[in-house]
Amino acid sequence: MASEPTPIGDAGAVLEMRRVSRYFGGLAAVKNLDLSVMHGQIHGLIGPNGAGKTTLFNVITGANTASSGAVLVDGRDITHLPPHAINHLGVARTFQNIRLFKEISVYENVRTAATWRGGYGWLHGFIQGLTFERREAAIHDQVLQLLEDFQLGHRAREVSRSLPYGEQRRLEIVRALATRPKLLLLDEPAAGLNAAETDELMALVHRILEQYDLTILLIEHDMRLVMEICQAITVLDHGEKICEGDADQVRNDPQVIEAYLGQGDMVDASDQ
Amino acid sequence: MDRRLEPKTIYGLKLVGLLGMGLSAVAIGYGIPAVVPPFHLEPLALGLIYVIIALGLNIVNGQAGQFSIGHAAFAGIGAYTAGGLSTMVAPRVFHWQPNTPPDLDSPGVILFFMGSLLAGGIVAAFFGYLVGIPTLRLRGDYLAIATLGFGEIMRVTLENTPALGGPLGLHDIPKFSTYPVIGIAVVLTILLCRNIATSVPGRCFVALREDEIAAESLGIATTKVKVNAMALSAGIAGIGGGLLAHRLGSYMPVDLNWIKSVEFVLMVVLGGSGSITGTTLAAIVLGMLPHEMLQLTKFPWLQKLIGNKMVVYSVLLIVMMLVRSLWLKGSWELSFEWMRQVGRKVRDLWTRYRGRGEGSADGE
Repeated sequence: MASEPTPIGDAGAVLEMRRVSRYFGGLAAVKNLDLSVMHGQIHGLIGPNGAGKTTLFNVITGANTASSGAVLVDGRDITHLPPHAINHLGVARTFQNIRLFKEISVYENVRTAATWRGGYGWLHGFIQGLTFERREAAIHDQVLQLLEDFQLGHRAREVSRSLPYGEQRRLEIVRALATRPKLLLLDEPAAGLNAAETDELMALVHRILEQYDLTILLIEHDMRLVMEICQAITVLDHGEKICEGDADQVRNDPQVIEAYLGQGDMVDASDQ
Repeated sequence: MDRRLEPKTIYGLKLVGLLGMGLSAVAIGYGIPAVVPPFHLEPLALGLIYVIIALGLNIVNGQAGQFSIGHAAFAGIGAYTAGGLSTMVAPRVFHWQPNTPPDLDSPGVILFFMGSLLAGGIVAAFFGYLVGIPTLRLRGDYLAIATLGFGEIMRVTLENTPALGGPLGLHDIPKFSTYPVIGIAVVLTILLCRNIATSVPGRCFVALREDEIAAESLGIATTKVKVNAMALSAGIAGIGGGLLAHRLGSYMPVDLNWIKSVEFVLMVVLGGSGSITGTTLAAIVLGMLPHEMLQLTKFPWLQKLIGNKMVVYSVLLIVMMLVRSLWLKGSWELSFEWMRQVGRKVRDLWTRYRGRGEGSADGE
């Protein structure tokens, strides 16, 4: 592809995608997509079902490799890296259908994620000497801090499967944060939440953004949430970008309205 | 868990733990032979050695959730390596005369034996690594079939290798695996497995078992972790196999039979899949079972009913599935943490009981 990674792409872009395509057989789930996510922003990714949003997440996190094009995080080409290496570079995600470590406790869920940054090798684990205890103590404090920060401290001992749905979603976000990402991908964080819980989630997302120096890219179907908290919104349809801009631009874009509602009389999407 | 322990407490507990392990090694090494009636000594020794192999399997099967039924082969590789060194190399090194019992107590011989055990472990780990690389990309049943196939290949290969005794295998292996040796080996293995389970590797294994996709998205190099788990697991099983060969005095390709592998899987499953404590207990019980069942000859009708160990195994499995929720949980361990929890519960109950007593007294 012509788009070889140059050291500096867009100044301030944490994530950059250059003409990224992903094919499944003959089906283009993502087609020639360019996307820049700016540092410190909440970037929304919307589109009708089957638009290729989750595939895009999979391409970014390495679960699916791009068929063509390049994905850059902080100017570094991550297109062909395996998922764990991409996480090590600072990309963490949540999943549309929650993927917690179900049979272990809330505390252990977060600790598992915090673990590789804990900084000791397997040999230290086998012997469990001084270094091990120091690093473990640090991990322990960090995990408890995270759990307290997100009101999960009282649940620490419970098996994660037994948490109510909303808290499971929150735990998944906390677990992703434990890997200390600079780019956090949230796949439908508000799915299945009621209005009050969605409000809580919005506050939470804002708090994460302020407290941790990171950038958020989120997929969401809840338009109220997207329009309220996203500084930039990208709309996908059939794997292609049909619109990009802030809430007002997107809301009034005829192509977007067509993608969601079909052709016909103009309807103000904000009424939804 | 939610309470941060003072460093002093941690080191205190560590010391207590190490002391306890040392004491149990002594208890196994010298206490058991002194106390247990001779009839049960041999099966118990086998059971204790099976603990090592089963704990090895527990890493891959119980903790990492990858189903392997080839562990008899890994144990066999360890047994053949260590046994081969003891029967073919040792006599030349130490100038043992044929038909005279070798002196097993000289430090050189003991060192050689330790080395041969370790060599067995390393060779088995290497094979685990080799098998792991291609097969761990498979999941579930397919991995089971691949490891099963590996085990059978090893068995048939050994059967057709005249240099290693062909179908008759190795024999006249010096019986190094005395109770003290077994005691030390078992305790060290338990310690190692416990340390693995309570640190980064163990966490990676559990993450793998719980959700592989989530694990890799959280920075865990799943393929590497799987292969490492397999190598570690095979290595421990190999050491167990070496001990076994030096206890039995002979080791045959039949001992690599897949039925043997299934027995090891059974030990892990009955122990609660993942629990070190459970696997240890289950391995001892199942290891002793075939020998103890010889007692059944005193009750012919009972022997007719459950005279085959396979019958007992299947009944145990069925019972286990029925009472799964009451059975040992994979996450349960006999640990300080558990003792503290129990202590707390007892204290709570006690205060509640006392509080109610006073309350009702006041009411009246």
